[in-house]
Amino acid sequence: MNCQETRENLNAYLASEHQLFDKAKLEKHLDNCPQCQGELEQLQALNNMLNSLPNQGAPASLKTDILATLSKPNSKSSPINKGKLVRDLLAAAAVSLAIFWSGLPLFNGTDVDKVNQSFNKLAANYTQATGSIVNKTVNWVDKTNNKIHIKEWKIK
Amino acid sequence: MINLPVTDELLVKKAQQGNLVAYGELVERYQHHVYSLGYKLLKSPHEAQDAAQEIFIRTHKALPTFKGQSKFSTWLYRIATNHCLDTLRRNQREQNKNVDWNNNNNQISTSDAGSQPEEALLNKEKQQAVKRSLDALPDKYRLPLILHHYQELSYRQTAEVLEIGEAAVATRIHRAKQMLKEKLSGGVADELSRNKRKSERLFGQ
Repeated sequence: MNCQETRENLNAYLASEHQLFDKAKLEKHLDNCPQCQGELEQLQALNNMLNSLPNQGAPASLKTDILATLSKPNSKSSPINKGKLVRDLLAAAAVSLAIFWSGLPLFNGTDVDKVNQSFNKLAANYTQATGSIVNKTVNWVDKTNNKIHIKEWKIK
Repeated sequence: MINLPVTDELLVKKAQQGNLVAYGELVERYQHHVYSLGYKLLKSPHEAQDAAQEIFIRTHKALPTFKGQSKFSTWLYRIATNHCLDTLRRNQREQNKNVDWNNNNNQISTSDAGSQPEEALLNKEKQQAVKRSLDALPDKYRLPLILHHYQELSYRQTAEVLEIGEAAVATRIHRAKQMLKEKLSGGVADELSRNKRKSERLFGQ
């Protein structure tokens, strides 16, 4: 076995994965090659360094949380991410406010086309940013505006 | 009466029939493995916890499709590895991904510190250097290394999880170690001289 072949198999040798190479030939080479012995020591040192990373156990609540999610009827595959939910709700609230203000001119019946255009633009950005929550809000605002329109039309 | 150990296969069968207690036993058996895999692959303990939770829920959902062609643990590791890779890809755009890890490292190092603050600082630096170097490896090399070195899977098990050959696992681990050796060359040299000093003291040289 030459140096290159030996070095390519040193990790497997250290891991006792002997099925991939001829162990006797590798050891014979190591006995006669200080360079490869040095390489072996370096790999052992590297393994020690890798072992310095702590191996964390799972938090105590993990199993309980999983089983609680699974025992809920119609449990969804994704656990609720509270941070994400709060962020989405805040985003939805902010955009709803923007839609409300941009929709105000509708109450006055002025420049309807322009308002419609800006409304559509806002609704598109809104949908892209916040997904299903946003969609529901847009639909709700849309319906409300239509009702107002119908009421205004009836009054006229 | 002799109590035979309950095998994974038996628990899987029961879980497939809707027995949540049996699935809870499987979670109990593998939660630390799955969590620590996420802990090594992802960027923060918080992400690791979310990932572990989602992996077990997905696995439960997929139980009807598990036909027992591989071991349950291999199948679970495959789901876990794919989920962590998906999470990594999804988070690639986030710029603040190292913050949580660094904060957590401070906590770990303080509790691991021992009596010497200097030693604790060195340990912390060493851990951070190792983690940074591991994170910088391409996934192709990082995954087999983590599965083998930290999850203690054999080359054969690693090959089954990653669906590659055993020889490919050996080559990738070899390549990963070469890359790490280059990145951590200073640390490896220090570790080497420390080991030599230790053995000299032991043998009175």
